[in-house]
Amino acid sequence: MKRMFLLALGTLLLVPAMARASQNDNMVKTAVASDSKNATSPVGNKAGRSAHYLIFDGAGELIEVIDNPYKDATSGAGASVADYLAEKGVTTVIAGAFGDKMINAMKSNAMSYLELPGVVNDAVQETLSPGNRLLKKLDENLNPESYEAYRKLINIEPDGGKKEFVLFTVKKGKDKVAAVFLSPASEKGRSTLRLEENMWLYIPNVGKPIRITSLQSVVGGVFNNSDILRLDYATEYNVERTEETDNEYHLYLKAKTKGVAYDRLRVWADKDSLLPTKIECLTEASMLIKTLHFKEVKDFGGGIIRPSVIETDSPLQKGYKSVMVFAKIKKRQLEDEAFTLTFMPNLESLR
Amino acid sequence: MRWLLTSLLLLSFPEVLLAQEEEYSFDLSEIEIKPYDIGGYVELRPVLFGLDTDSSSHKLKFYDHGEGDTLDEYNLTFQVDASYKKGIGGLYLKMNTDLRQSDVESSEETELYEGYLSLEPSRSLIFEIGKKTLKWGKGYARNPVAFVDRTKDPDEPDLAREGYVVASVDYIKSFDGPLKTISFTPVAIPVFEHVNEDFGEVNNVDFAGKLYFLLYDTDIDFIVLTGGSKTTRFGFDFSRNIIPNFEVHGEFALIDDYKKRFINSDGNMFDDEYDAESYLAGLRYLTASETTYILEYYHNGTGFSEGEMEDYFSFIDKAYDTYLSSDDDALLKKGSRVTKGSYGKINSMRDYLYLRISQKEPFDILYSTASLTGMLNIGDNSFSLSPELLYTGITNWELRLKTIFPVGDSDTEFGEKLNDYRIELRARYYF
Repeated sequence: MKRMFLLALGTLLLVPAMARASQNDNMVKTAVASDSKNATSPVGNKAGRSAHYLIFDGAGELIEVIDNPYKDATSGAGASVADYLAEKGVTTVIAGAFGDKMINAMKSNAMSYLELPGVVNDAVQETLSPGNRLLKKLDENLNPESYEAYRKLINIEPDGGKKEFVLFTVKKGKDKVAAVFLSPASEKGRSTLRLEENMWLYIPNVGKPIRITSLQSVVGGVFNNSDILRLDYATEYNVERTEETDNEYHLYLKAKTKGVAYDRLRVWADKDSLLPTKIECLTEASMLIKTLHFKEVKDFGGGIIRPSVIETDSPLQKGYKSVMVFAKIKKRQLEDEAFTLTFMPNLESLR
Repeated sequence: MRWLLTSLLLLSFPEVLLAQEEEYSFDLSEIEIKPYDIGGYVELRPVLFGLDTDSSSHKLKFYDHGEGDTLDEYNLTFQVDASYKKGIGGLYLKMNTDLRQSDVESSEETELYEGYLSLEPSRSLIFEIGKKTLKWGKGYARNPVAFVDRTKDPDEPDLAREGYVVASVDYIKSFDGPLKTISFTPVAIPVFEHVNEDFGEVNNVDFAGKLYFLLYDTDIDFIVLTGGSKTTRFGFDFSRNIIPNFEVHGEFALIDDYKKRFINSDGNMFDDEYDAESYLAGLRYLTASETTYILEYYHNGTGFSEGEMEDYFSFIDKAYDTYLSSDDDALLKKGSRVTKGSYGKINSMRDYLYLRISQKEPFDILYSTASLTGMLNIGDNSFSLSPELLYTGITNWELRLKTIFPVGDSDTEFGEKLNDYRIELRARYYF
């Protein structure tokens, strides 16, 4: 019994250390003062006295909400908050107004600051690079942040042979995606879940969900798990460089962490529709892994107009092609509990 | 004119039009929601056993009839999965029929593997009652904390197994921050004559519970089973990806007052009672070339030591010699009884190492997987090697060729297996 608890305790102590070790410490971080934890609420007027700070990464993704431990301090709240945010790796602070002591503390911590009134999300957008702002727009045009959809995956072999899979997919927020296979019969009931970088596969006969990686493919062919359980591009990538021609934008994306399946993406986007037309997935050394071709723009209703077909080919699998066909994409807000390991066997009940 | 020519061409070659239209078709009838669903598979599995005629297993099974060096066996399996859903309720059934025909026996066995009613009043609350498999634990080949499941066969860890009749609740709660999920699963297990009677001592209702956390990207479970049909046991397991393609997992089980029956070389039975600890530590590693390594060490605190196992093998040898000299098979029948009850159980000894290496799409053959599985009994240095080839390229078909070679000296676990080798082809069609 004693050994069991020691083992449990050891694991629990080890886990946060491992988690911290896996984080990327070289990120641009923007902290926005607010009296609410919601990014759609107003920016806090007094930086030192705001109840919370919402922390965003360089691509404008909310990554953490922290309480201001000094909001009720009798004196020196602003300077203390500046030091506290610096310890958290924050590089830019946004608030309605800053006191002189806080400004001095931020300067001594080599932090920049902006006085921006209005809504938190809008203030963050102001600080984004034009490329990251464009990437967020592409994401919004591809699908609502929370939605349900049906997808057919077709693997086409060089001799014309095909294998098809139909999936029902749900996504919530920036980091929760789940999919359950509806056909063929041999795959029916299999489900996959992604919570941030955690991915699991549930096979009905085997029962317990097993952890899988983004590099694997549960269907074979050119698509891998990260294609099937894709998060928004802005969640996983920063835009390093943007170019434009008369008709198109070219975005050069770099993964925010090592855990992302493709280290670099090169995105071609149509200027009028702000939808991607082609995406190249590359390794860190810029070796091409696969190319996604976005085709057949379709109105799915509810304001969702996007490509209904994504064709994928890969120089690593010459002659093979995989196609993803979308149907019935619509906004849907599910409870967080639907995106849990315990709920995985019941995912089909969401249809 | 061009229109006419095109029309004529298409009429002459309608398949051209169809092929282009159908290439990316998505017929919405494919995703129609039906209240009922039925599926499953049919499987044909011929097996060739190369018998080890000197093994204790052979002596016990074939002492009174010579079978030669090989044995053919043909297995036909039907597994049907059916469900009916209405509102927040659902009924699920999994029925399995095995037909077996060999040179020595033929059998037919039909079992309800699962049959339960599910109620899902919300995403965070699920009630289930009926026969079902819970499949707790994180290990791939073995699960010492799966207190409410039948033992997994490490040779076939992915096979469906028969469940127990239980009543369970899943309560799920999600959070923001390092602790993302908590779920609690209390389970009641009635154990009476004709209901879960093989679970343990009858006329009891046992209770089990699992508390799950997703904490700092780590799956963690705390498990308990208590009641009258089995002694109380506690469990803990975890699973985590240290880096995206490297997963580690572990299980620990403590079984209070475990009662072990063992036999000496003269055939006398003894009992021992102690607190047994079983644990498993494993990893799963995926390389860039899609080779998966699964490595697991398993300590079975309820298993037999090498000395206890040698006593058992000595007893079988003596029983066989007695039969040869006197035609009296009473001792061999006693040997069969203790084998079935304990010595012949899966993972009958104490320390095992399991390694499975599988290569996806070897030689660029899409939908194929080649695997090699090794199982080492660390105590007696016997082992088994099992190469296999799997092909799933034809829709709804799964073809698998598998061989198993148990290797070991006499009086060792794998050395005393019935076979020197086993070759089987499994053709499964899903419908």
